Amino acid sequence: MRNSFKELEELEMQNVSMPSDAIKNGITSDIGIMKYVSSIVEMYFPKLADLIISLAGGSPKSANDPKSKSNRYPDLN
Amino acid sequence: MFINLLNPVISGAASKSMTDGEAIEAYLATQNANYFNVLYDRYSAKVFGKCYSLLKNEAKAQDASQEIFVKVLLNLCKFSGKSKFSTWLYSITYNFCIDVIRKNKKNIGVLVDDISAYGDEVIDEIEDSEIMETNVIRLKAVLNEMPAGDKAILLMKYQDEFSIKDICGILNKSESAVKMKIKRAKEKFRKTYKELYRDVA
Repeated sequence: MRNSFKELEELEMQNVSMPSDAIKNGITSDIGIMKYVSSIVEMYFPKLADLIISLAGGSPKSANDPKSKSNRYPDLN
Repeated sequence: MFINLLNPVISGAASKSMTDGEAIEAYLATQNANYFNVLYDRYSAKVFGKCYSLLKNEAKAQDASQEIFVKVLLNLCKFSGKSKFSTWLYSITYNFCIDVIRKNKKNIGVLVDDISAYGDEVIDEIEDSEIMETNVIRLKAVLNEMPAGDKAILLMKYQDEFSIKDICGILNKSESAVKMKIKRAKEKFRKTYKELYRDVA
């Protein structure tokens, strides 16, 4: 059986020029921005979490960590 | 650090011989963007064509293709391999385009309409051959006049030759709902055809 839908698809592919590089550049740029943002979040989120805990009156996890304490105040040990 | 899709490292012969599954596995194992490039080169034209066909605007089709491939790239680890990669990719494409049209128009026709909204008139079952053997130029004209939802479901069935089960997955509808939507889309096709070519036929 003839399938005009397939013929139409081929016809449209011939008629429409696809801006391949523009799309590729866009994808590269989008992924780059996402990676950049995620690396910033990864870097600063723990510090922000510590700050929020401190502001709420608690002590950050790093302050409770004996290793961190010894590093922070080496002369007291 | 940033991926660059423009610098292919894998040779052309190697990429051509690679199946979709192999390219996905290699990409997930290595995070090397060149493996994703294999999939992009293979399917980008078809994805762009489908976006252009549904959105009817080159700039919008370009933006949509870009967002679809970013979505695919970010969700590639979720691809289970139960269906073909092309089916999965086209399902993302159709859903994305339908969402774009829905946002723009707030009225997409049969795809979001309640089935009960249709009248009770009984129409004879339309044979697939009646639609599939339509003259290409007329087919294009009729499809362009149809609501995007009806057009999309006909393209899924006849152009991509998706099974009912695949379409159920894409639209997240039951089998009976999908069959009803196809039936309604075929009726809409016939009605639109008659309106456009009343005098010619």
